[in-house]
Amino acid sequence: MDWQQEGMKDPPVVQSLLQQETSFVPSLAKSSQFVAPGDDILSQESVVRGHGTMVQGSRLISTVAGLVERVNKLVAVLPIRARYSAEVGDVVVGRIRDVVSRKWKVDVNARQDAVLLLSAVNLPGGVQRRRTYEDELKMREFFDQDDLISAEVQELKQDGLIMLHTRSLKYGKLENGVFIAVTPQLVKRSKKHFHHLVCGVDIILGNNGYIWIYINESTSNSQEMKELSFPEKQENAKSSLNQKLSVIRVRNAIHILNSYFLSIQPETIMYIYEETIQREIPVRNMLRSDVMYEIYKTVTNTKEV
Amino acid sequence: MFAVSKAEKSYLLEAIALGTRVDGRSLLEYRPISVQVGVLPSASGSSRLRLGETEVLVGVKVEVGDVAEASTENIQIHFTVECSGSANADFLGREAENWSSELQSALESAYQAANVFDEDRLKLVPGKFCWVFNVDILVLDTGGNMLDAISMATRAAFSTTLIPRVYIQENDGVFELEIDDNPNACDRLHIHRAPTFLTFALLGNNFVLDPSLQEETSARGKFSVAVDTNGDISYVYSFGLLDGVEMSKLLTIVKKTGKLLLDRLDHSIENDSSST
Repeated sequence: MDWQQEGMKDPPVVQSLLQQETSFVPSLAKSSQFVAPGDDILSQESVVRGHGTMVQGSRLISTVAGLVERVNKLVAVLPIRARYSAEVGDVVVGRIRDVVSRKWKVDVNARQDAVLLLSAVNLPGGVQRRRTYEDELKMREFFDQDDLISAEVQELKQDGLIMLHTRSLKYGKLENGVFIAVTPQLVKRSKKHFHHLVCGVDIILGNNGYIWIYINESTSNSQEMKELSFPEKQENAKSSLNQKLSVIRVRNAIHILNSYFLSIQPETIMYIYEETIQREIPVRNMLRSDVMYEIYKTVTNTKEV
Repeated sequence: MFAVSKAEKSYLLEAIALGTRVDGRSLLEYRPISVQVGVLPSASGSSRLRLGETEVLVGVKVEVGDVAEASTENIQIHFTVECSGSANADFLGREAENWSSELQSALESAYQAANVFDEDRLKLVPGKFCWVFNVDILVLDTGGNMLDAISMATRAAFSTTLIPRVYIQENDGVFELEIDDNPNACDRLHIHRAPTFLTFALLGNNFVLDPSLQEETSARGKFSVAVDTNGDISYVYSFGLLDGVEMSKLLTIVKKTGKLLLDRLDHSIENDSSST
């Protein structure tokens, strides 16, 4: 248990944002002019007002806390914490909100629920064929309400509606792991979003800030369905506990990165993971704010990752 | 409604069967707690408490109220719980009322069962006037285990509550109350008997203390015990399936953990109030 009087203060978001470029600093925008709501945005005479700004009298002020972005005459403020705004090709982790006729509604931390059409999933067997009425009746067998899935953004409609697809073997229902939601801005778009960490844990970094941390049965081949003798069973339980503790350590490492607004990448996660192991911090203590701050300090003082 | 997928739930149960939770805590461990007192200048006593993601704000207001002639009560405590709609989408609409009334009645019962405050010390005019404590609780954020959070915050708010000194004058059966001119002439409440809830959730065959939102949603049943500084249990509150539970074992845990928890809570309240 941790009892801190100062525990209620927000993490020094701005500080870490304005720090020198290390990969711990999320790459939000090229500019580093940070504004709070109501702040003047210093700009030239004629500008075009963009998102996150407001004209009051002759002043251009910010309506959100974020970084000023200028594109020619357009001035906008990118909020540092916002909902996910999708781009085609993004890998996302989502939760099924509802099953409706021929489609699933999926929560992806965006302004509105994304849609996954029945025609946009791979049916078991993998054969490309017409979706029949039987398939429609079996929709809950594929993905039921509350299930977590990984998917890719296929299309953005005019009104901002996100269409997903899971038409690849790597997408689909998520199992054998834990879920954590972080600020979407901390997950950078990259070539790869499915990572196998050296500690034996797999992660899916959704662009929408939803992250799935799991043990991939096919790569770790721990799942052997045979009769086990008692000592073997014990051995099995022990390795299963160790696996779980690794998963939890990764989860808590991501939690620390998220609370201090640090970029979430496999490298940064593993850095914190190794740091806590080196300091012999048990996973149960990783959520204590003094421990978190201690690690944060170490991480931001060292420049190389 | 907070959602947990079947896969998440089974993973959570597996982990708990092995003795760890998905956030790394052991089964009988609280999340980090931080508390501030004296946060509302207009209240007689107030506190703001964070338990993991759960955050609550409590204000206590003291006033003099009328009582029926036959009644012998010297104090009344009224609880109002308000669940902010911005804390959780569940709190929009009818669901908020259910939550509030549930939390409210649990607190009321716990405070009623324990003779919390030294009633004789707070006596005004029996059968005429009594002290009324209005406890307003605002839930700002939910991360599970709201009952423990609000009961701890209430205790913290009571610990800083100041009661003005009142002089009673009787003229031919008419009572006049006069408040001391000196604003510093106040009394404090003794809170060592103020009950605080410890909540357990039954997951698989194991009990976990201080369930998170995810654990609450996956639980078969829940079990809350109100305990004071002496480890005395004043109230037990349970819902859901609690078959085959070893109550006596659980209550021993409660007495031990409760005492420890309250000592630490009081310690941090003291720290905070001396620093401000």
